[in-house]
Amino acid sequence: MSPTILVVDDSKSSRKVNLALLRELLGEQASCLEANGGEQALQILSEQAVDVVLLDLTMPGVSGFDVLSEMRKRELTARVIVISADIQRVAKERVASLGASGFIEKPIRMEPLRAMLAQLGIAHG
Amino acid sequence: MAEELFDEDERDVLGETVNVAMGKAGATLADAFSGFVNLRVPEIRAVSAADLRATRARLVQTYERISVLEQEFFGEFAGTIAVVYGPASYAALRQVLGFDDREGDGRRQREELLLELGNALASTCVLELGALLEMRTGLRPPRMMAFDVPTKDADWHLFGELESLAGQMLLIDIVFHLEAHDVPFELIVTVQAACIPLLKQVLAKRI
Repeated sequence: MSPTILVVDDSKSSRKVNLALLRELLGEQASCLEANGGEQALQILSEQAVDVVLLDLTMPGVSGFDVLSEMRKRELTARVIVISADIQRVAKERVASLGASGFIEKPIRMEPLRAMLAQLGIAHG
Repeated sequence: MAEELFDEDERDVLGETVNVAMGKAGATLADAFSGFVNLRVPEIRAVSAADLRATRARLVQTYERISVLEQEFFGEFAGTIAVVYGPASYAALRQVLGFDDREGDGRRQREELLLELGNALASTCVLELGALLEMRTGLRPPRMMAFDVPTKDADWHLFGELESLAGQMLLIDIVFHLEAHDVPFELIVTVQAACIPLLKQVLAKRI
Protein backbone atom coordinates (compact mmCIF):
# COMPACT_ATOMS: atom_id res chain seq x y z
CA MET A 1 0.00 0.00 0.00
CA SER A 2 1.39 3.44 -0.86
CA PRO A 3 2.11 5.62 2.18
CA THR A 4 0.55 9.02 2.63
CA ILE A 5 3.05 11.68 3.63
CA LEU A 6 2.13 15.15 4.89
CA VAL A 7 4.70 17.93 4.43
CA VAL A 8 4.21 20.77 6.93
CA ASP A 9 6.18 24.00 6.55
CA ASP A 10 5.21 27.67 6.44
CA SER A 11 7.79 28.18 3.70
CA LYS A 12 6.57 27.39 0.19
CA SER A 13 10.13 26.87 -1.04
CA SER A 14 10.86 24.37 1.76
CA ARG A 15 7.70 22.43 0.98
CA LYS A 16 8.71 22.39 -2.66
CA VAL A 17 12.18 21.03 -1.82
CA ASN A 18 10.75 18.38 0.54
CA LEU A 19 8.20 17.25 -2.04
CA ALA A 20 10.87 17.06 -4.75
CA LEU A 21 13.07 14.90 -2.49
CA LEU A 22 10.13 12.63 -1.68
CA ARG A 23 9.41 12.24 -5.39
CA GLU A 24 13.05 11.42 -6.03
CA LEU A 25 13.17 8.87 -3.22
CA LEU A 26 9.75 7.28 -3.55
CA GLY A 27 8.62 8.02 -7.10
CA GLU A 28 4.92 7.42 -7.41
CA GLN A 29 4.91 5.09 -4.40
CA ALA A 30 3.80 7.79 -2.03
CA SER A 31 0.85 10.09 -1.91
CA CYS A 32 2.01 13.51 -0.74
CA LEU A 33 -0.01 16.24 0.92
CA GLU A 34 1.11 19.66 2.07
CA ALA A 35 0.15 22.08 4.83
CA ASN A 36 1.35 25.66 5.15
CA GLY A 37 1.33 25.68 8.94
CA GLY A 38 0.44 23.84 12.11
CA GLU A 39 -3.22 24.69 12.02
CA GLN A 40 -3.73 23.35 8.51
CA ALA A 41 -1.68 20.26 9.39
CA LEU A 42 -3.94 19.43 12.35
CA GLN A 43 -6.98 19.97 10.15
CA ILE A 44 -5.68 17.50 7.54
CA LEU A 45 -4.66 15.01 10.23
CA SER A 46 -8.16 15.11 11.67
CA GLU A 47 -9.73 14.47 8.27
CA GLN A 48 -7.63 11.74 6.73
CA ALA A 49 -5.19 8.96 7.48
CA VAL A 50 -1.55 9.99 7.21
CA ASP A 51 1.39 7.63 7.66
CA VAL A 52 4.26 10.08 7.99
CA VAL A 53 4.48 13.80 8.74
CA LEU A 54 7.53 15.88 7.74
CA LEU A 55 7.20 18.70 10.27
CA ASP A 56 8.87 22.09 10.57
CA LEU A 57 9.16 23.51 14.10
CA THR A 58 9.44 27.29 13.81
CA MET A 59 6.17 28.44 12.26
CA PRO A 60 3.93 31.40 13.05
CA GLY A 61 0.82 30.56 15.09
CA VAL A 62 0.67 26.83 15.73
CA SER A 63 4.31 25.68 15.92
CA GLY A 64 5.72 22.23 15.26
CA PHE A 65 5.97 21.67 19.02
CA ASP A 66 2.26 22.50 19.29
CA VAL A 67 1.43 20.05 16.47
CA LEU A 68 3.32 17.24 18.22
CA SER A 69 1.58 17.97 21.55
CA GLU A 70 -1.81 18.06 19.88
CA MET A 71 -1.16 14.85 17.97
CA ARG A 72 -0.29 13.15 21.25
CA LYS A 73 -3.43 14.52 22.91
CA ARG A 74 -5.60 13.29 20.03
CA GLU A 75 -3.75 9.96 19.96
CA LEU A 76 -2.90 10.33 16.29
CA THR A 77 -0.57 7.57 15.18
CA ALA A 78 1.19 9.15 12.18
CA ARG A 79 4.96 8.99 12.58
CA VAL A 80 6.70 12.35 12.57
CA ILE A 81 10.07 13.36 11.16
CA VAL A 82 10.96 16.86 12.31
CA ILE A 83 12.85 18.94 9.74
CA SER A 84 14.06 22.10 11.42
CA ALA A 85 16.66 24.83 11.64
CA ASP A 86 16.20 24.78 15.42
CA ILE A 87 19.22 22.59 16.10
CA GLN A 88 19.43 23.04 19.87
CA ARG A 89 20.09 19.84 21.80
CA VAL A 90 17.06 20.59 23.99
CA ALA A 91 14.83 21.05 20.93
CA LYS A 92 15.84 17.60 19.69
CA GLU A 93 15.20 16.08 23.11
CA ARG A 94 11.80 17.76 23.35
CA VAL A 95 10.54 16.57 19.98
CA ALA A 96 11.70 13.05 20.83
CA SER A 97 9.84 13.20 24.15
CA LEU A 98 6.75 14.40 22.29
CA GLY A 99 6.90 11.27 20.13
CA ALA A 100 8.79 12.32 16.98
CA SER A 101 10.53 9.43 15.25
CA GLY A 102 13.46 11.49 14.00
CA PHE A 103 15.07 14.86 13.47
CA ILE A 104 16.72 16.23 10.32
CA GLU A 105 18.55 19.56 10.32
CA LYS A 106 17.75 22.21 7.73
CA PRO A 107 18.81 22.76 5.03
CA ILE A 108 17.58 19.28 4.22
CA ARG A 109 19.68 16.85 2.17
CA MET A 110 18.66 13.68 0.37
CA GLU A 111 20.65 11.17 2.43
CA PRO A 112 19.35 11.91 5.94
CA LEU A 113 15.78 11.84 4.61
CA ARG A 114 16.42 8.56 2.79
CA ALA A 115 17.89 7.04 5.97
CA MET A 116 15.01 8.24 8.11
CA LEU A 117 12.35 6.95 5.70
CA ALA A 118 14.21 3.62 5.49
CA GLN A 119 14.13 3.40 9.30
CA LEU A 120 10.38 3.80 9.10
CA GLY A 121 10.25 1.08 6.42
CA ILE A 122 9.16 3.47 3.69
CA ALA A 123 12.26 3.85 1.49
CA HIS A 124 15.15 1.53 0.75
CA GLY A 125 18.27 2.33 2.78
CA MET B 1 8.31 48.22 2.39
CA ALA B 2 9.70 44.80 1.52
CA GLU B 3 7.20 44.29 -1.28
CA GLU B 4 9.03 46.88 -3.34
CA LEU B 5 12.38 45.10 -3.13
CA PHE B 6 11.48 41.43 -2.94
CA ASP B 7 8.55 39.51 -4.34
CA GLU B 8 6.75 36.81 -2.34
CA ASP B 9 8.95 33.94 -3.56
CA GLU B 10 12.16 35.86 -2.90
CA ARG B 11 10.99 36.71 0.63
CA ASP B 12 10.11 33.07 1.22
CA VAL B 13 13.56 31.77 0.22
CA LEU B 14 15.29 34.56 2.12
CA GLY B 15 13.15 33.80 5.19
CA GLU B 16 14.18 30.15 5.16
CA THR B 17 17.83 31.12 4.81
CA VAL B 18 17.56 33.48 7.77
CA ASN B 19 15.81 30.71 9.75
CA VAL B 20 18.79 28.41 9.30
CA ALA B 21 21.27 31.11 10.35
CA MET B 22 19.02 32.04 13.29
CA GLY B 23 18.91 28.38 14.33
CA LYS B 24 22.71 28.21 14.46
CA ALA B 25 22.93 31.45 16.46
CA GLY B 26 20.15 30.25 18.77
CA ALA B 27 22.07 27.05 19.46
CA THR B 28 25.12 29.18 20.37
CA LEU B 29 23.03 31.14 22.87
CA ALA B 30 21.45 27.96 24.25
CA ASP B 31 24.89 26.45 24.79
CA ALA B 32 26.10 29.58 26.61
CA PHE B 33 23.19 29.33 29.03
CA SER B 34 22.86 25.54 29.07
CA GLY B 35 19.20 26.21 28.40
CA PHE B 36 16.55 26.42 25.74
CA VAL B 37 15.93 29.36 23.44
CA ASN B 38 12.50 29.86 21.90
CA LEU B 39 12.93 30.83 18.26
CA ARG B 40 10.34 33.05 16.63
CA VAL B 41 9.84 33.66 12.94
CA PRO B 42 12.24 36.53 12.13
CA GLU B 43 11.01 39.81 10.72
CA ILE B 44 12.52 40.58 7.32
CA ARG B 45 11.68 43.76 5.44
CA ALA B 46 13.04 46.50 3.27
CA VAL B 47 13.35 49.72 5.22
CA SER B 48 13.77 53.40 4.51
CA ALA B 49 15.21 56.02 6.85
CA ALA B 50 11.73 56.59 8.28
CA ASP B 51 11.30 52.87 9.04
CA LEU B 52 14.66 52.78 10.78
CA ARG B 53 13.64 55.74 12.94
CA ALA B 54 10.51 53.80 13.89
CA THR B 55 12.65 50.77 14.78
CA ARG B 56 14.82 52.94 16.99
CA ALA B 57 11.72 54.40 18.66
CA ARG B 58 10.40 50.89 19.26
CA LEU B 59 13.67 49.92 20.97
CA VAL B 60 13.45 52.99 23.23
CA GLN B 61 9.93 51.92 24.19
CA THR B 62 10.86 48.27 24.72
CA TYR B 63 14.04 48.65 26.75
CA GLU B 64 14.52 51.23 29.47
CA ARG B 65 18.28 50.66 29.53
CA ILE B 66 20.37 48.90 26.99
CA SER B 67 23.76 47.44 26.12
CA VAL B 68 24.60 47.13 22.44
CA LEU B 69 27.30 45.29 20.55
CA GLU B 70 27.71 46.17 16.91
CA GLN B 71 29.76 44.46 14.26
CA GLU B 72 30.12 45.55 10.66
CA PHE B 73 30.40 43.00 7.91
CA PHE B 74 31.78 43.67 4.46
CA GLY B 75 32.08 42.16 0.98
CA GLU B 76 29.29 40.96 -1.30
CA PHE B 77 27.12 40.62 1.81
CA ALA B 78 27.72 43.84 3.73
CA GLY B 79 26.03 45.71 6.54
CA THR B 80 25.83 45.96 10.30
CA ILE B 81 24.63 43.55 12.95
CA ALA B 82 23.67 44.68 16.44
CA VAL B 83 23.16 42.47 19.47
CA VAL B 84 20.78 44.15 21.90
CA TYR B 85 20.87 43.33 25.58
CA GLY B 86 18.04 44.71 27.67
CA PRO B 87 18.29 44.92 31.46
CA ALA B 88 16.66 41.51 31.91
CA SER B 89 19.05 39.77 29.54
CA TYR B 90 21.98 41.31 31.35
CA ALA B 91 20.60 40.13 34.72
CA ALA B 92 20.16 36.61 33.31
CA LEU B 93 23.76 36.58 32.17
CA ARG B 94 24.91 37.66 35.60
CA GLN B 95 22.89 34.90 37.24
CA VAL B 96 23.83 32.09 34.86
CA LEU B 97 27.48 32.91 34.53
CA GLY B 98 27.78 33.82 38.19
CA PHE B 99 30.04 36.85 38.00
CA ASP B 100 30.24 39.39 40.76
CA ASP B 101 29.70 42.93 39.54
CA ARG B 102 30.11 44.56 42.93
CA GLU B 103 33.87 44.54 42.57
CA GLY B 104 35.70 47.60 41.29
CA ASP B 105 36.66 46.02 37.99
CA GLY B 106 33.21 44.51 37.51
CA ARG B 107 32.27 46.84 34.70
CA ARG B 108 35.16 45.78 32.54
CA GLN B 109 34.42 42.12 33.24
CA ARG B 110 30.78 42.61 32.29
CA GLU B 111 31.62 44.45 29.10
CA GLU B 112 34.01 41.70 28.06
CA LEU B 113 31.35 39.10 28.74
CA LEU B 114 28.72 40.88 26.64
CA LEU B 115 31.30 41.43 23.93
CA GLU B 116 32.27 37.78 23.86
CA LEU B 117 28.72 36.44 23.77
CA GLY B 118 27.58 39.09 21.29
CA ASN B 119 30.52 38.39 19.03
CA ALA B 120 29.67 34.67 19.04
CA LEU B 121 26.02 35.37 18.20
CA ALA B 122 26.75 38.00 15.55
CA SER B 123 29.51 36.13 13.78
CA THR B 124 27.58 32.85 13.75
CA CYS B 125 24.59 34.59 12.24
CA VAL B 126 26.42 36.66 9.61
CA LEU B 127 28.90 34.00 8.50
CA GLU B 128 26.14 31.42 8.21
CA LEU B 129 24.02 33.83 6.15
CA GLY B 130 26.97 34.55 3.87
CA ALA B 131 27.73 30.85 3.45
CA LEU B 132 24.12 29.87 2.78
CA LEU B 133 23.67 32.70 0.29
CA GLU B 134 27.08 32.00 -1.24
CA MET B 135 27.91 35.70 -0.94
CA ARG B 136 31.41 36.58 0.24
CA THR B 137 31.49 38.36 3.57
CA GLY B 138 33.91 39.18 6.37
CA LEU B 139 33.54 40.66 9.82
CA ARG B 140 35.21 43.66 11.35
CA PRO B 141 36.00 43.53 15.08
CA PRO B 142 32.98 43.90 17.37
CA ARG B 143 32.47 47.05 19.40
CA MET B 144 30.39 47.72 22.48
CA MET B 145 28.49 50.80 21.35
CA ALA B 146 26.59 51.19 24.59
CA PHE B 147 26.87 49.64 28.00
CA ASP B 148 23.94 49.81 30.35
CA VAL B 149 22.79 53.28 29.29
CA PRO B 150 19.29 54.75 28.86
CA THR B 151 18.19 53.43 25.47
CA LYS B 152 17.52 56.91 24.08
CA ASP B 153 21.17 57.82 24.72
CA ALA B 154 22.69 54.80 22.98
CA ASP B 155 25.04 55.65 20.14
CA TRP B 156 24.32 53.28 17.26
CA HIS B 157 26.36 53.01 14.10
CA LEU B 158 23.42 51.05 12.75
CA PHE B 159 21.23 54.14 12.92
CA GLY B 160 24.06 56.61 12.41
CA GLU B 161 23.71 57.01 8.67
CA LEU B 162 19.98 57.54 8.65
CA GLU B 163 20.09 61.01 7.20
CA SER B 164 22.18 59.92 4.22
CA LEU B 165 20.08 56.82 3.47
CA ALA B 166 18.31 57.73 0.25
CA GLY B 167 16.84 54.37 -0.80
CA GLN B 168 16.06 51.22 1.07
CA MET B 169 18.09 48.64 2.87
CA LEU B 170 17.20 45.20 4.16
CA LEU B 171 16.42 44.80 7.85
CA ILE B 172 16.34 41.45 9.64
CA ASP B 173 15.10 41.40 13.22
CA ILE B 174 15.59 38.23 15.23
CA VAL B 175 14.36 37.80 18.79
CA PHE B 176 15.63 34.91 20.88
CA HIS B 177 13.65 34.23 24.01
CA LEU B 178 15.65 32.54 26.73
CA GLU B 179 13.04 30.26 28.26
CA ALA B 180 14.33 29.65 31.79
CA HIS B 181 14.89 33.35 32.44
CA ASP B 182 11.97 34.69 30.41
CA VAL B 183 14.17 37.30 28.74
CA PRO B 184 14.66 38.33 25.13
CA PHE B 185 17.92 38.81 23.24
CA GLU B 186 17.57 40.71 20.01
CA LEU B 187 19.68 40.69 16.85
CA ILE B 188 19.15 43.47 14.31
CA VAL B 189 20.84 43.08 10.95
CA THR B 190 20.89 45.72 8.23
CA VAL B 191 22.12 44.79 4.77
CA GLN B 192 23.38 47.61 2.55
CA ALA B 193 21.29 48.61 -0.45
CA ALA B 194 24.27 47.96 -2.75
CA CYS B 195 24.09 44.23 -1.90
CA ILE B 196 20.44 43.85 -2.89
CA PRO B 197 20.90 43.26 -6.67
CA LEU B 198 23.28 40.32 -6.08
CA LEU B 199 21.09 39.02 -3.27
CA LYS B 200 18.10 39.03 -5.64
CA GLN B 201 20.13 37.11 -8.23
CA VAL B 202 21.06 34.50 -5.64
CA LEU B 203 17.46 34.14 -4.49
CA ALA B 204 16.17 33.90 -8.06
CA LYS B 205 18.30 30.79 -8.65
CA ARG B 206 16.62 29.06 -5.71
CA ILE B 207 13.01 29.72 -6.58
